[in-house]
Amino acid sequence: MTSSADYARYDDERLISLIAQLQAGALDQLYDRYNRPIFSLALMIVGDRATAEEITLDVFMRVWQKAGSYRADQARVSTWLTHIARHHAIDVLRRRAVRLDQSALSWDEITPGAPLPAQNPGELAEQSLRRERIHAAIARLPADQKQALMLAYFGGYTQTQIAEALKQPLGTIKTRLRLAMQKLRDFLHDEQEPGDKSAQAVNTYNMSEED
Amino acid sequence: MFDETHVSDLLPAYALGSLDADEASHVEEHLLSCWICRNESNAFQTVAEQLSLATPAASLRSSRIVVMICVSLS
Repeated sequence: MTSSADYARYDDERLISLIAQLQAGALDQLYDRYNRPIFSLALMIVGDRATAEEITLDVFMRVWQKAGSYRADQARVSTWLTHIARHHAIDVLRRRAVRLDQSALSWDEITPGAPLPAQNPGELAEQSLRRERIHAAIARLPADQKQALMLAYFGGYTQTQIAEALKQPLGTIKTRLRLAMQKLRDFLHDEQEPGDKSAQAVNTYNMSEED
Repeated sequence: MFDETHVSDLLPAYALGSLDADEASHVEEHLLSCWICRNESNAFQTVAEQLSLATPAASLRSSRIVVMICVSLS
């Protein structure tokens, strides 16, 4: 019989394969690992705790029912869960017909949250680092780019819908989103660059030694 | 009409899921045959994925037992 301590040692992909075999303990463990980020994401999108809790439970219900359809070669488990949660939360928002210009979405008050439960100290440190990086990157964006990014990602709105709601030319919104994403990509890349560069330097050095 | 050149300008919005349907179809079609844009698209997808981490810390009140009950009823 598999104990909860055994499940705690399994990686995410192994848990999903066990969930597909209807092992409730594996779902329990996955829930422990991911309920907080999923709830945070849902809360960010829908804005009220009760609905966000329902969405979180729905996500794990879907995982229970659809674990067999997960493909490890297409996405990490965390990506898969985020995808399900984001789309479900945006669907809920749409059904409520919240007008875009009434949306309470804002990054202004958000600070990096507490680290999530992790399987080991190294993973915990990596999670914290990734959260800090993305917060720092977003903080550097101009307010109008942040707003467009927020509405697109957490609101699930198209560029055309954002342009109409904000009464801005479509080209302006396209530019804001493009610049915001390019800056985030460059910033996140630069933050990782020192390690990459040192690795590259070692390789270059080794190659010149062989010459 | 779209031309057949690279779709770099559309990739940031594509990663965010904020293109209109016809533009998204055009990008998807282009990505099937262009590895340059596919690489760039992957980079933006990674950025979009990390946006989900930019949420406030929040904890559920419901315990995991609730999940187990839901599962047993499903």
